[in-house]
This record gives sequence, C-alpha cells and structure tokens, in this order.
Amino acid sequence: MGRLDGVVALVTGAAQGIGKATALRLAGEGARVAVNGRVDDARLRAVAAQCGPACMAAPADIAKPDDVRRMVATVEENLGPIEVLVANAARMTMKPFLEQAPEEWWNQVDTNLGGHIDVIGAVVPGMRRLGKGRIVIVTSYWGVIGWENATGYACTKSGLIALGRSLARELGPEGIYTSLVAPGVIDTPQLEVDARDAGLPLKEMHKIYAQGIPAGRIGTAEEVAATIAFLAREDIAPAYIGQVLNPNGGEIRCSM
Amino acid sequence: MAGARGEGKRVALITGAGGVIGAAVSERLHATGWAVAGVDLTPPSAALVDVFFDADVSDRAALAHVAKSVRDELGPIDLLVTAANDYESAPIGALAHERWQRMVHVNLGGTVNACAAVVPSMVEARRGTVVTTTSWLALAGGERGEAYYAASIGAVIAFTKSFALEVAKHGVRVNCIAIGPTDSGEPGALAGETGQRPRLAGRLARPSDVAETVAFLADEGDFYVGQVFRPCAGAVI
Repeated sequence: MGRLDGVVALVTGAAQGIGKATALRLAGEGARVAVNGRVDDARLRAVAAQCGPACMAAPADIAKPDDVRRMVATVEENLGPIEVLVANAARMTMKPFLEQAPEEWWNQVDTNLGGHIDVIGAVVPGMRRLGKGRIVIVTSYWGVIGWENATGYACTKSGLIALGRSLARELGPEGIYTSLVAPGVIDTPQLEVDARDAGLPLKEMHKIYAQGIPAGRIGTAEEVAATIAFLAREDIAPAYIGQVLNPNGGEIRCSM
Repeated sequence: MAGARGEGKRVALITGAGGVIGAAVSERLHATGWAVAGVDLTPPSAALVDVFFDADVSDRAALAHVAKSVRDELGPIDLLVTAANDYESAPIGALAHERWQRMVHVNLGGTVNACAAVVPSMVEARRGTVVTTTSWLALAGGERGEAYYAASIGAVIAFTKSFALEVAKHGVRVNCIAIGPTDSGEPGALAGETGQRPRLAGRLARPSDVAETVAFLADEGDFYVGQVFRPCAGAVI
C-alpha cells in the first residue's frame, strides 16, 4: 500500500531530470502518473513504461494552449480526474541580457510561466469536480535571488512563486492546495546549459558548484522528488499551503 | 556501541517531550521504530518514550548529562528535536525581568544547550539530524503582547541558520520548523492559537504536521541546511 494508491498525478517535463525522478517516485507510491514531455518520443515512453502499466505518456508542448487542453483531456479520459499536478517543465537558455534574442527570452516565459498557467487552468476544473487537489510547482532558487545571464529563466521562476502563492490563497478554501519547491543546484541534464555558459566541462561545473554549497555537494533529482512527494501528500498539503521549500544544500542566503 | 534498549534502532532525543508538539514527535518516531528519549519538566505519556529525563533545558550541565545517559542507554543519537517552549504574553514593560530571562533561557538557551550537548558526537560520527522549533509569531509578529515571546523564539532562527552552516560540512543537518497556530485540543497550550481561525487550508496547523516534517527531515532531508519549514496551514505565506 502506497501513500498515493490510485491517485492520478500529472508531472510536466518528466522525460528527464527532476520531472522523471518525480514521476517514478509518485508511481512508486501507488499513483497513476501521466508523464508529460514536450516530444512524443521513445525517451518519454520509456519513462512512462518504467512508471508502470497504470501510467501513461502524455506528450504536449505546454507552450501551446491547444496541446495542453488536448493533453489534459486525454489524461482525464484515460486515468480520471487529476488529483496531483507537478508543474515542473522548464526551458532555460543563458545569455547576457542584451545579447539574448527576444524570441529565446520569451520562449522561456511561454513555457515555464505561460505554459503552466494553461496547464493549471486546464487541470483545476477536474480537481473541483473531484472536490480536492494538490498542485506542487517547481521553481528555482534563481527565481528567488536572480542570476546573471539567466534573466528570462529567473523571471519565469519568480513569476511561478507569485502564481503559486496566489493560487494557494485563491484555491485553498475549496480544498485545492498549492505549494512550491525551489531547488538549488541539482544533478540534472540542465546543468549542461550552465556548463556551456561558463565554458567549462560538465564535471568541472559540478565541482565548482559543490564547493559553493554548505552541504559540500550538489543535490540529486531523487531528493527533490522526495520533497515533491511529501508536499503531494493529502495530509501534508494543507499544512504547507503557499510555502516554498528549499532543497539547496544550505544556500540559505537565497531562500524564501 | 549501541545500548541494550536501543539495539538496532535509530535514536532520537526530544526536548519538551511532555508538551503537545514534543509528544506528537515522540509518538510518530516511536511508532516507526525509533528509540526515543524525552526531556521535560513534566513527563509525557510513558508509551511515547523509551526513557524520560526530568531535566530543565536551561541547565547546560543537566543536558550534557542527559545526552551522555542517552548514548549509554540507547546508543548514538541520530536525531535531536528541540521542542521545549516557554510562552507568556505581556505588553512591553509589563513582564517581570525574571520571566523574560526565563523565556530566553528556555527558548533560545534550551536550544543552544541541547545542540551543544548532542551535536559534537554527531560531528564526530559525521552524521546526524537536528530539528529546532520556532513559532510563526517570530515570522509574522504577534499582536497580543507577544513581543517578548517572539524575540526569544525568533532568536532560534538566527541560531539555527548559523549553526547549520557551522556543522553542515561535517555531515550534520540542522533545520528549523516554525510552528503555526495549532489545533492542539488544548486551548491556550501553544502561543498564538486562540483567536486564530482556519482560513486558507480549512484547518489550523496540527502537531502531526510538525511530527511528519521531522520524520521527513530525518529520512529524506539530507539536502536541507539551515531552512525554516513553515507547516503553519497558511498562517504565514
């Protein structure tokens, strides 16, 4: 018996990294997980298969509102109303502010922030019919303190904090609880973007980050997934409504 | 070397184990296979702890003795939870100096004393979890003569962050839980709970929220350092 037996969960951006670890963790606790990824490919289907027979791949580019509506409808049709939403998908490009092409900058906004506004908008009616729901939004410590060469990404992550806290207030009274996770440096494929920006091999990037973290290491996707699973618990979600948890190894000068 | 009574079990030391929060933490850990040692001036229900020490957390020597006894009887301490709490409200200037001092010595001093008694052996073992507790009043401010209390308990946050950074490199994880206005079933038992209505979450904070957070930190919280968790059911966002 798992804590999430029979619960339908949708995890966006789950083809890799934190999203993948979260899909696997929730499935391991008994949830029927819809595994969203931008592209309908073997990688996404492999994650869904790894989650188990009760789970499904749910491809959609969340930056496209029609795709989002279609995806959520398909999930509800196949698995039932979504009780747990993990809003995790994110794009990140790093460039100095004045050098970043406007479309690259806005692409991040359209996916990370706009995409999740659409996803949440499509999922909440089902939660209302169900009479309950939990939304866990994955933001970033860069959304709290900002980061050089990451203005677009940081803006979207900061916007997600305001979005999550507002939804916590707005939807809480009807039993739909929103909370947030702001991971620090986590060992995911996204670190390759950081390494490219710094002009360093990935290994070197890991080492440099680890030196700056009080815990002396970078985090793992599974650790962030554990926090998300904790916040997704029906007994815990109301306690943490509107809160931001910071698994960041002690970057406490950049915590909410 | 594990003591006979704690054989094979993880060992937790809980200060304030006789209080509402301490009892909930003890119960949760005890139910999931921990050996639990409790410290308080009033004992908890015997079913919740394996050993109980009648000691005052403001007494540094007494806590050092407790920590040694726990190690001897149960084994190395894996988890320290500081939940001893002294609350009194009064307008500024209206609280006897001795009462203010007592509050500081229990709320801040008790936390510091417990850490000083327990953590050196965790550092030596290069592992261990410490969870301190503060109040949502330290974050939000209290309206009803709670400046004294908020100051004494808010200092725990500053202590926790710096202490967390001090020992993180030795593998010891120190974090803090800010306790919200709590539905304890005992009106007035916890600071700030009277007059608080459930608003956003449809319920007040519960002692079990704190207990579950402690368990989460002990089991899966290794990447948390110096954080203030706020399971306060929306009292502070």
